[in-house]
Amino acid sequence: MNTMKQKVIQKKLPRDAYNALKSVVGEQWIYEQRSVVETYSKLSIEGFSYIKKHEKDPHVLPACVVLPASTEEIQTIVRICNRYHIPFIPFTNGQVFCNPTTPDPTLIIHLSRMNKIIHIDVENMNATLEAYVDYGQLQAEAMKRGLWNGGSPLATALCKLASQFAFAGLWQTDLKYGLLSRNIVSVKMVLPDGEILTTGSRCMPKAGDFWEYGPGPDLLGLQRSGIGTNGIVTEITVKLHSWVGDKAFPEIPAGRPSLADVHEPKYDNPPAPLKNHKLYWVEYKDFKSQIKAMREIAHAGIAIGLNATGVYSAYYCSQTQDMTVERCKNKFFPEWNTYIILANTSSDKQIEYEEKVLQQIIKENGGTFLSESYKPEVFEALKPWNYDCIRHSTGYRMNRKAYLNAWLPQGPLSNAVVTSREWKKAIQTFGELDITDLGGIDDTPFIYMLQRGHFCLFETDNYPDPTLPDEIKKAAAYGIYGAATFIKYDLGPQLMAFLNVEPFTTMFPEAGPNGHLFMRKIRKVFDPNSVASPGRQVFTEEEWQQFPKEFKGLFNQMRAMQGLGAVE
Amino acid sequence: MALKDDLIGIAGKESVFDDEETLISYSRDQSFVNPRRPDLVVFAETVEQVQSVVRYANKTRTPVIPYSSGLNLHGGTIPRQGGIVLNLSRMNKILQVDAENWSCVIEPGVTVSQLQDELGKHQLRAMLPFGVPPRRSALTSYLERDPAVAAASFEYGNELIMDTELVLPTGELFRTGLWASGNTPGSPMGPVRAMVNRLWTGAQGTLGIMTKMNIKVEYLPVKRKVLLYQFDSFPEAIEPLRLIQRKEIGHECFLINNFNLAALLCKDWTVPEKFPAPMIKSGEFDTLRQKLPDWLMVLCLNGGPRMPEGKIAYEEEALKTIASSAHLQSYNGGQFESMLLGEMLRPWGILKKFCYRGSVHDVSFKTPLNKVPVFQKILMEFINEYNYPLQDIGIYVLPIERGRACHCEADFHCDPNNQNDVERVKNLWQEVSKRFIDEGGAFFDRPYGIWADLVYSRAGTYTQKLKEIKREIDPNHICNPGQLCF
Amino acid sequence: MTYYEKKPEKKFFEKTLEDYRDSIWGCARCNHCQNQWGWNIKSAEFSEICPAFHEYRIFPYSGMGKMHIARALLEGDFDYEDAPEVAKFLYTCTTCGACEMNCQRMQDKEPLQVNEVLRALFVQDGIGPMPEHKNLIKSVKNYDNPWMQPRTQRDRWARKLGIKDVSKEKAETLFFVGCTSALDNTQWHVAQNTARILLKGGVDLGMLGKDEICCGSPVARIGDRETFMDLAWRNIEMLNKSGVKEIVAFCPGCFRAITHDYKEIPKAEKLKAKVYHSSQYIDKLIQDGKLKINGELKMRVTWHDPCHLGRHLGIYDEPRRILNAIPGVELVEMERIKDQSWCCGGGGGVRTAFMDFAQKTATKRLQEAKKTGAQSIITACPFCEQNLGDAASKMDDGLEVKDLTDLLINVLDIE
Repeated sequence: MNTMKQKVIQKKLPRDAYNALKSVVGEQWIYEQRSVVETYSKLSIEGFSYIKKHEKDPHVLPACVVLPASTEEIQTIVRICNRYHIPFIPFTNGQVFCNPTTPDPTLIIHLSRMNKIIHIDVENMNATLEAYVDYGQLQAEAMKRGLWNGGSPLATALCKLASQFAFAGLWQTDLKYGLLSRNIVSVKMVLPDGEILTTGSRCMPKAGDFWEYGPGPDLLGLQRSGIGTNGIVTEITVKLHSWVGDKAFPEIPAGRPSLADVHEPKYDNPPAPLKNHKLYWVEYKDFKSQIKAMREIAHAGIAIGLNATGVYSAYYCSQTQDMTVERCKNKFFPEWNTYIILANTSSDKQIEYEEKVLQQIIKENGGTFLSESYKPEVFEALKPWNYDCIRHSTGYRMNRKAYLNAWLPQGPLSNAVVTSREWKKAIQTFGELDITDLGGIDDTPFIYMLQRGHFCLFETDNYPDPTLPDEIKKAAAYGIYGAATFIKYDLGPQLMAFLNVEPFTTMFPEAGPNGHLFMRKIRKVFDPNSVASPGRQVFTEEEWQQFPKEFKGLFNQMRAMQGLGAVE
Repeated sequence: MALKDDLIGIAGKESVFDDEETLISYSRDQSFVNPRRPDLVVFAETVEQVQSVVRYANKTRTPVIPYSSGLNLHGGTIPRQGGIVLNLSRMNKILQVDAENWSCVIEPGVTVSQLQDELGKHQLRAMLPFGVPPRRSALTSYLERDPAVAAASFEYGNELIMDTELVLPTGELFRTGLWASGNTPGSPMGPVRAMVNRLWTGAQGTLGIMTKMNIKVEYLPVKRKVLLYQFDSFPEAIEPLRLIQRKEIGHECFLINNFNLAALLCKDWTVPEKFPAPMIKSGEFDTLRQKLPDWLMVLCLNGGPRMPEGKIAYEEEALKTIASSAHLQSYNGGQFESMLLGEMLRPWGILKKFCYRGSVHDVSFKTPLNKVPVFQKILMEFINEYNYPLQDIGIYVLPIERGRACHCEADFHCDPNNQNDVERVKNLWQEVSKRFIDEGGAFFDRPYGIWADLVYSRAGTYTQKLKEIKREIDPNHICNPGQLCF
Repeated sequence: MTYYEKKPEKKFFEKTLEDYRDSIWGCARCNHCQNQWGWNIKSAEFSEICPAFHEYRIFPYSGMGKMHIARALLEGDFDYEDAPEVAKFLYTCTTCGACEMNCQRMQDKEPLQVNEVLRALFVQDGIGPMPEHKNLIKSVKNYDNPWMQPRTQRDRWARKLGIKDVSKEKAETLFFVGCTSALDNTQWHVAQNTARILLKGGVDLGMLGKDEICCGSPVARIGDRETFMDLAWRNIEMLNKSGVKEIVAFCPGCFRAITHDYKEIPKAEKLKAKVYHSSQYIDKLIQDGKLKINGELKMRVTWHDPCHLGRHLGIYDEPRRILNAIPGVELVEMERIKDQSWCCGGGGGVRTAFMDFAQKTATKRLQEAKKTGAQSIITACPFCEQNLGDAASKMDDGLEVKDLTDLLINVLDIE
């Protein structure tokens, strides 16, 4: 090895803290070796951690990793952290927001040993899961019982539901099932002060775990999307819904790939449909028709899923990056499109009825269904969605290059047009990256119709080359500019629809307004000793004073580009 | 007096009242909560006035109790520690009906009947709770999580709040949802966290005063159909209900017993204006109560905006496949089908039940469907002990989200002018509530009145954290103090 | 372009970490290296795919973890003396390729290759392999097999079978037996069965006999490129010189080494013969009518896909076709099959250095097999049979581990 390069040295925990933690989990389940902490430091979709790796900044290295097996162990660990002032971070897959937030030696609490489905209550349609259970596991078990959770995220079926509670939870089928937010019955959390909180009916000794709100003011809602700053979810109870599809996904007729032929598209071509489900693809003449049709479909009360895919199909449905680039260049997939998922939830005749309604709407809006006779090569290429629309698996194809700094605005469907317009301005301002989401092909951001069309989420992304720090920084600029754009054009109070992080929270006080001041109070309640990823979601006044001036300057520069005043 | 003068300075002379009659009228409602007079009543007409009153209250450490229509009926607006009742009923504009995105922005003074009438003009409707008084504040009804009669439908009857605007206990304006950072509402998420707006639901104004709300509204179907099924006992209804809901058939769905059904149908009675209501003897009611089935399930099928018959047709066909395995026995209610269809939109007919004795005290809670018989059993023990006739109890069971839970209401009736009767029913009601919690595991997710003590003394860390939040965001303890656990 | 054909500029056995720079920087920690492909998951219990991560629960044991470690080593973020634990993480990996399977499908990256390149680097720098492997390498160098057995023992299994010695007479088809089947007398029956079956099928069969040497797969997997390449060059020369048109290998490790790894050696000669796995070849004989199944076995069995045979090279259908062709045999599938097969735990040098872990992994596989209701778990790999067999002998539930040929030999009218 080249020993001339600069090393990155991790900090270590004080020995008495380390020994105290070791006595909780046992020697087998505590690690502070250099290579171990390395594997908890570069994250999936966070530009910050990539930049810090390029800069050889030890900031992103945790000091130590522990693996508890129970809520009680976690509680003891958290109390130790309070005693010794050790910041801690709960960790599942390591997608985003799990780097240390301070220069202090930080503890990672990896929840990988807590991966059991505790209970599936078929009668009352819910499932209680430990923190590391993922969507694929839950769906597999629930579907055997004629139930399912209602969807899966583009971050794939391997996402853990508990960590999605702390972060996002956006599904292909949110037209009907409406985000993870709509599907939580309760959580059990170890709070940063070491208390254990259960929410909803579960907090009452005899009521059982079946109802999500209250009692009285609802804390479940407050705790969601706290990204570990408000405690560690150790158990989550989620709602289940009727599932009328197959008990297990049928095998793909082409068989299974091997390393010898893994890139052949045929292995990604599931049969259509899953039992009692049908997936339709429609292309439109222009953006306006697409928007109108989407609204009509949502309002017609049909379908369980309704989305426009933008550039995503070029990724998800392409087995190699070369195919992706080729398809983007040649505009292989329709610029303006939607996919619609129908299901026979109530009756064998439901799809028949809904199909008639769908056809009527599409005809009125000048759309055309893709089929074996219309653009059959495109129709064939879109087949991965046949399964992905229910249990998404190809999602990380977007990360062949780094996938960073997404814009995730929200609002009425008309915001799709605003998003598209402003994103194109951002591209003109900052230039393109290795691959820039040109909004589908030209215009269409990914559009999720949510909760029967009452509101939507949109997404546009960047894919910088992860080996080039300047590209990553450029992607970061998109992010900051995006937050300012959102404020200006009513695209949402946070860059990522579900939550804000610092310095965005304090640098965009318009959200609330002064949402950061309100959240400081909440932080004080839950994390009085500032041990739970301190400063990740909201700064205290002291932390704000320490925020580097050059970053404040950068943010204010981006704010000014959208005519927003400086934040002092 | 300084308080009055100061408030006149904020709201104007025509908006501040401290006369005896007014104070008494705000000191009580039809619940068992002990009356307590406010110091005075202020009508606010703008958000700025609300903010000013709240700031003033902080400066002088005077409690502020928000009041929209006062039709909580559970003591939520009784000023436990005196102070200012802040009446928001003059803030009664429907600010926006977004026919494109099916949402509607309302102020706290907008009543449910006003809202439904206005939405009807746009071929839209609000999802309202069964038994909501027509003059109830729609905003408060949503805020307090009154369960919509369509709550059985996961998509249409639940989580109806989008953006909100509120005044925090320290007087700052705060918004949630898309509104949090801009001028237009249009989504429920944010700021900072996705579902932060839920903190203020079920809070009875103890954590802030809501001044606007953007709610989801739905299409007003042109074709609807009501189906009725009768049962001799509630346990018989559980499996059919489960099968129907598992198939996700219909929107509105509820079960009521013969008492409530008779009240709903009784033509001798009308929906009272005030509560308690005047007692009206009715032979028709007594006859109906004897004649009607013990239990009736009401299921409403709604056609969509397009080809509405098609949707109703496939749902009816699905019901046929369930009918035989579930032993569904249809009830021919043809004569009141149109009445029931009307009730789905304007669901206050059941309030006629107040005419029976004048006062109704419900025990309302959430439970899993299969546990309802447990509560029936506990109830039977008590009514025997208290010599309260079984036939005088009205019961309403509302499946929620396709049957994962249900909202139960058991009504006890008493004559508010008969102190012995009041005392008896009060004791019964309190004992039943306590036993429901301790033995049956009833979940009072909206712990009004004495339920608050029963619930919060058992809720451990949840209670503790609520109190800590209250201390932080309402440091002077002025927002409706004495309610819940505060 | 397929996985084995892309990036023609450099052969695998000359690649360094630098050649994987894009990949190891770009590892997006999707975690598919630890879990089954989402569409294939049938239960929570059997949803994980990486035996090492499944057991130890921390990331360095996963494909993703090694990518991150590789990045740090490449960039000099830490060095060997800073992280002596790395060798253990590298070698507690059976090289089953499940990580690479899903990663290729998802991200087009190469965690298994990165692991093997790291191993090669460690061996080159004297840090690896594990101490327990040193004897294995010494044996290969001294005896041309990893079992410390003299070369003269190599053909003992074949006495009385009448197989041609290709050094003495020409044959069309060469049976490449493999070290384990030839030298472990508990595995002789497999080699003997295979030979008998091929002869019954009318194959003009030869073998290298005492001249056969290790294919090199064990040392390749451990990271000793020099020893491997030496064996490979010698094998290619010997096999080409033999003049055979076909080579039938029984051991999937040999099969993969000869069909794939040899092509990845810089400047190596091309192998002239066409190479088959024995299950492929036997399936072909049955399809062509040259072998006739005549008999019945009443058994409920499940098939374990050996990693090198299945996931690496795509031979899934042939063994299943064979089993389905035997009257009375009922084939029931486990949940993790084919490309998502759960490794037996025996490969990559794990059995040598971490026997406990190897056995735990095998036990999990047997538990999965038991859940199907099968009486026997059938496979076609000597390492799988050794490792699963050892684990089965410690379990009480009567599940038998058998080779595919153990069944065939009873239904082909072979004396």
